Amino acid sequence: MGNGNFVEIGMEITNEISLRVIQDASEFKQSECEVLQSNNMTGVRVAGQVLEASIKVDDKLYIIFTTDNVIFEESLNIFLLKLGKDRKIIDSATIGEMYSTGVFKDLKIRTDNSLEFYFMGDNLWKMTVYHDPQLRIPFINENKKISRPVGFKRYFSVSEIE
Amino acid sequence: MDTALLSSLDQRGKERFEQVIASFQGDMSALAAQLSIDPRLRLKYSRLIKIMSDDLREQANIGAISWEQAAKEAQDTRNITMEMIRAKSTPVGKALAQKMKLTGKTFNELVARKTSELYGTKANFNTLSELQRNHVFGSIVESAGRSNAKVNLKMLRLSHAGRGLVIFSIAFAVYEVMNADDKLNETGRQLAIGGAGIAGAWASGAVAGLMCGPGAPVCVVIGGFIGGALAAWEMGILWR
Repeated sequence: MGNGNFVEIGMEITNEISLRVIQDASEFKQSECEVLQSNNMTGVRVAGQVLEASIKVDDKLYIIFTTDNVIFEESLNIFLLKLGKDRKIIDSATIGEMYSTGVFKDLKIRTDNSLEFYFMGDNLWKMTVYHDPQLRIPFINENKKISRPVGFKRYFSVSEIE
Repeated sequence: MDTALLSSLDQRGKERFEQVIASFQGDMSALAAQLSIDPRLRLKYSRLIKIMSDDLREQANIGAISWEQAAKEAQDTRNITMEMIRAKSTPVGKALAQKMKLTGKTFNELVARKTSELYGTKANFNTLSELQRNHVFGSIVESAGRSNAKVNLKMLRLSHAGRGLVIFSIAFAVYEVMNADDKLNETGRQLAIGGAGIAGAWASGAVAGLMCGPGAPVCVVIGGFIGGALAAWEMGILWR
């Protein structure tokens, strides 16, 4: 993952991960949660309140999907995490639109490094995790429903399947 | 050298320059208006729905209405509030809001989701006790008072940007007035350009929205800017 180590990717849905709310949402700030692995604190904090699903990519890499429990204007937060030593959020994305809402459902692992899910009605989304980080142009995202933190690297992509 | 000809060309060049500046100012006023109206409406929407949710909870708590009624009314009120905001909104806001509404949730979907969240994925709403069902409905009412915090923050920042653009437009207008020979006339001209830019963008944006169909915010923004520029250009010429 950018440090010379080749990542053997093979995804599976896991129940190891859970969330503990650290801070409730305010008008201008999302909820914040501590990520727990097998009920142990990891020190990693993510936005959101409800854990929709968690995927184990390998021994250290996990993907988690969270929502904010704002059922009439829900957005989906996606995090690629590295747990264990040097734990951190490697990459993230949010899918959502003003005055619109969605339900996360029908998550399916398609290949060793890609999965699909539904969010916002009949919109099918595909997520692909990269072996090596890809260069990206900051402020330009895959889709106008997707927002990303500012940066030049992308460790996964999310796209809407027409 | 024919200085009269040069003087004439220079005057035409100056006029042309003035027209370009007038168009630019018109567009800036229109953008500032759009940014400042929609973000303010958004923040008002966020506060309105919280008041609504608190009110419904109060009524259900005192037994004036059932929790199921409160939950249904919460959902209906969210939709109606959005319609009200859309009616006051700018053409861009309307196009966006119309597009968004297509992905709402049915009441049953909400109930199923909350049941699963509160009592586990295997729970069935129909087998819950009355207390548990009321808990589900109460949770829906509470959620109805929340809006997306990330969107709220973005709109708060945009409203500040809108104010910045308004200040820029005003500063530009003041500069033009200070440099004009006929300051009274120039003041009126600047007000007309700013106003024309806003009115032109509004009308043009609404027309573009109709032409492009509902849910085409990009079409509306382009139409809005062109309309703003044209209206300001004409107003600049007419004032002379």
